[in-house]
Amino acid sequence: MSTTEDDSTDGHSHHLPAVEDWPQGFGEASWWPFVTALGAAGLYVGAGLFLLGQGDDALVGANVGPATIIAGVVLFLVGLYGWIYHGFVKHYWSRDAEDSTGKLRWGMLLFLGTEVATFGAGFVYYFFIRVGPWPPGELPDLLSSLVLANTAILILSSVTLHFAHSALRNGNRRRFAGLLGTTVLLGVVFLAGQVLEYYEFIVGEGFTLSSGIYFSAFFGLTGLHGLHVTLGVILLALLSVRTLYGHYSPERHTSVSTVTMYWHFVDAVWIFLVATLYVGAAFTL
Amino acid sequence: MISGLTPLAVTSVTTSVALTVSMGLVLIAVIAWLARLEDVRSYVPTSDIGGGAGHTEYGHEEKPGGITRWLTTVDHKDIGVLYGVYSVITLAWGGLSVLIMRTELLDPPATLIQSTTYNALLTSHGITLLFLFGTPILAAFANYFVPLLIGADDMAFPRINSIAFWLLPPGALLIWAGFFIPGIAPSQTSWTMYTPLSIQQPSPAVDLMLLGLHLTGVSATMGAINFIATIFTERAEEVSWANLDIFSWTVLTQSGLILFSFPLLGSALVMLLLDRNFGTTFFTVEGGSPILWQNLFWFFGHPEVYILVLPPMGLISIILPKFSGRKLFGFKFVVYSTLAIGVLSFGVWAHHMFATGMDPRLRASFMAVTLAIAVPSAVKTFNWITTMWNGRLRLTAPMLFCIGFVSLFIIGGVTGVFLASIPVDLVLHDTYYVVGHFHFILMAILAAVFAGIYYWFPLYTGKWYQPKLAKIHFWLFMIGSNLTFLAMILLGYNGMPRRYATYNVDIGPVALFTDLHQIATVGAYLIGFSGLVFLWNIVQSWLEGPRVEESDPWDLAQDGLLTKEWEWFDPQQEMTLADGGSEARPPQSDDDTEETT
Amino acid sequence: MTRHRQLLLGVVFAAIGVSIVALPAAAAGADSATEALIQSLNLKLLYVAVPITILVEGILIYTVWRFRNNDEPAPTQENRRLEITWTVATAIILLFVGVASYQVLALPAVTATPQVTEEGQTNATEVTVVGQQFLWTFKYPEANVTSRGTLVLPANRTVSLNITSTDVIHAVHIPELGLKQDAVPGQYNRLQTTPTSQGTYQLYCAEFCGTGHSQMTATVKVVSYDEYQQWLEDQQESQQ
Repeated sequence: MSTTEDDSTDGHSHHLPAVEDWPQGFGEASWWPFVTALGAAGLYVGAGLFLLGQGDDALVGANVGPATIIAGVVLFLVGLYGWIYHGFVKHYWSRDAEDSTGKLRWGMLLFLGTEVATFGAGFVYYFFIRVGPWPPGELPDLLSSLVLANTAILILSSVTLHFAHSALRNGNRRRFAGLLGTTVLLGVVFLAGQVLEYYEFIVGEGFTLSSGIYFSAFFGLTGLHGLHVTLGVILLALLSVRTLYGHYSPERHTSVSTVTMYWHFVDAVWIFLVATLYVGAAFTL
Repeated sequence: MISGLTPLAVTSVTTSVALTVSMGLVLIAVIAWLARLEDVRSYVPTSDIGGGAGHTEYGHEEKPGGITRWLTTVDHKDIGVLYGVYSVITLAWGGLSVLIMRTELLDPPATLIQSTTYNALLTSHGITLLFLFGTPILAAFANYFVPLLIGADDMAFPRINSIAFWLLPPGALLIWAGFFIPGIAPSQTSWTMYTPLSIQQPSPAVDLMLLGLHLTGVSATMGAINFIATIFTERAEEVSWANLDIFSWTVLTQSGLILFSFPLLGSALVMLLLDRNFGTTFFTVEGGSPILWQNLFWFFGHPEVYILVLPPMGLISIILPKFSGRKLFGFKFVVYSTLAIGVLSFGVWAHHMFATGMDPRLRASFMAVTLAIAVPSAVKTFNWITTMWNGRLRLTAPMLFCIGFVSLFIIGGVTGVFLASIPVDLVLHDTYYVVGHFHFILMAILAAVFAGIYYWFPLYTGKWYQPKLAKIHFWLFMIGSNLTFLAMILLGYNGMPRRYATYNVDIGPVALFTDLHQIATVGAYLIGFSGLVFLWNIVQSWLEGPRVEESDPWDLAQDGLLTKEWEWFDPQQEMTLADGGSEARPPQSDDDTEETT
Repeated sequence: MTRHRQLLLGVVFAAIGVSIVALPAAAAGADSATEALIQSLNLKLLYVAVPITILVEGILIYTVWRFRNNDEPAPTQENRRLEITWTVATAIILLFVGVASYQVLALPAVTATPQVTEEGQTNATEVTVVGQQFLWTFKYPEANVTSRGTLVLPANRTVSLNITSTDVIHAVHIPELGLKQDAVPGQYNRLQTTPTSQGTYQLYCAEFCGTGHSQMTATVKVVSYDEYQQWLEDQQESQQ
């Protein structure tokens, strides 16, 4: 039996995983997963309602779906906030340092494994059509300076994040905070660049998701990647906020290293994406 | 506010909202019932029994009481029970839907239900049992027992474990939505959702089903990440890779398969949704082609078969030796064959597509890998039989189901080899032969699940099931399965195509078809009835069954086969005794063994 | 010495040759070249599989019966040799399945490739088979004839079916002729066979294609070449 009061998360006897969570006073109870799941389900149900609200003989109003999606997102974020707050942040100072580093790194690594498969399906589609007659119709100017600049920005952000992490491990928190902030900024600039590119393609040149076989792959894959960058920026922003609160030290940087893994992965996907979807489409051997 | 809302739409909104709410209430009622059930169990230190003496110094009780306990729990055992209850509900729906179909098939024309209803039930039967029953019931076992077997406190990520479960009920509601939302037809795509049929079907129920499938896929993936992380990082110090139990090995391999197959399916589902609603060309004829869907689907779909069969193999490998009185024969080879199956399972998907006109050389190479994957499965079978040889067999209910598993698995495996042979497959593909073949495997899986439920029943309920009823369950189940699916094998040999709502054909052997279909239906009723016996047995025994008094209810220690999960059972027992809640009863296990010796 | 060996080899090859010729003939009731091939392969597999299944199930039941009252379990002893033996034995049986299947697979009556231009097949009867929900249409491009719901084929001639679909995936399934091929929109799949006995056969749709899937059947009539020609002429006249 553990002898410490509170936060006795690492006794040799039965371990209580959720001592801090709401509802308080219980070791193995937390509303956060349920709330988060409800929010996520709201997203899916909302998407379903949105589709039910399409067309002339729609079963539900056109706004029901989006409203449910928004409610779902809010609930999801509330759940995640509570989860992260109670699971990681609240007792940051009182917990053992390397308590869960191993499993969290494993978790991230495995998650990235699933991401390979997630992107894989889209790339398989692209390769399927790419080996056919090419070009499949009118294509926009794919290798614009915007794409090249954006690629440079994303690669640079990986470099800054890498040096931020090593600065942290060397105990230079100031340099860490600066480089982390730079990375967030670069991520935001990249996203803005993507939005600009979409704007030019959709509004400027009239190429949309349904403009042909190439654009299914183009918008599908860049869209999926854009979602991942967005999530990455949010995670990096969370790291920045926690840094401002004085979290992280050479010994305590699990979430910095997991987020770094994620960010490098997203960067690598982008490089592969540019090589195949942009360069590979622009040139025909 | 909502401009396009017509009165009709308002009514249908209210109806669907009402339906959703009532479905939610049903779910809550089930959980409340569970919570009530829980009050009967006094050995678990829930809050209402007051955490016991040893717990006050924590400053925490472990769990809140009542329904809150089940909604908020992050305890792997509770979540395992939740998965189990959920799976029993989905199994009931999957079984009920097929009984309606089998009744319809008693005579050639459409008499009981229309083709559209038949096709909707057909779709729901497959999707429900593969996605909503198969994967979750295995997660139930893995959740409850992997941490106990490897000596972990809990799963690596208890909260992710909880969220993974809670994504399932909404996923199921979305998948079944077509049946209870008025005004839309249920999805009729069959579980394979082949394009262009699945793009062409106008009903939004298909979209809802795709969304629900994606949601349950996310849940399965989260579970898989959790299991791998748990087995890698949470093992107790004395549990090394060399002495990791066989069930955890199969769960580990299964999770590895899920890790790559489910996310790929998830992306394919989203692409299909986009094709249906936003004019993309992923699986259209002019775009990625319908064959691309089949490639992606089966790249998920075949590993899914092994996702479903590996943990049951683990269950058999762990339970069968216990009642043979000796250790598993060839432990190492069983582990190797598990890993071999895991690797090979990603290289056989195109054997579902031999008739699509694929490149002949490619086709031949897929035949080769498909034949190769039969080797590790056969090796396991021989190991199980050799384990029993020279043993002291105790024919308890779990052991009977283990033997049933091996017996069904042999037939399922041998019939599968015929399908691997391309020329033979070309005749049998998409006939009832295929249905018969894979149901032999699925019934074997179900037998392993029952073996697990009965074997650990004392552990998770603290009660004894009724051995007589369990044996009736077993025999009905075995006779029914063989009757139904042997009839299907013969149907297939005579050319009867699968997914046929009617079979009043002009030239084909209608009389023979009718006879065989009737035999299959009788068998299906037997299986259905065995399910009722099972349900009655577990519910009644859980509520009123005799209490288990010993920490080693199966007398495993005498053969040195007592595994770690029963070590956990021991202290729980002491707590019960300290409670002094119940009068002493004769240990039921003696009865159980007596009958068989 | 070498002559003896040659003789032996000759005998062996002759035996194999005879058995290859004899087995399809032994497969009684085959109504097409394709069915004959597949049926004889299936028989071969059955000869191996049924005894193995009975043997293994028998051993399983015998084991249960024999050791159910055993009081003294012998401790499990690892036996690597046994493991390797049954692994190799299974592999050999499956190798046999693979080789036997491959021999049949490589024949054009089982795997028709679009580039079949061998001598004697130039006069193969070409039929285009089109599936659409929920009807089969058969086009005879040479005679410019279209038939709905009935496929007429000449007996003892090589026929070649070009199969496609206009909407969703269907599949041509004529179990009595041993024929199956998917009808995929946007692509042509090919079947080639020689119907050997006259008669009427059932064609089913074997790929789930929607509400009317189970009603999407057609009639296959195998008739003599003369009758076939006569039928084509009748159709030409009525379709003018």
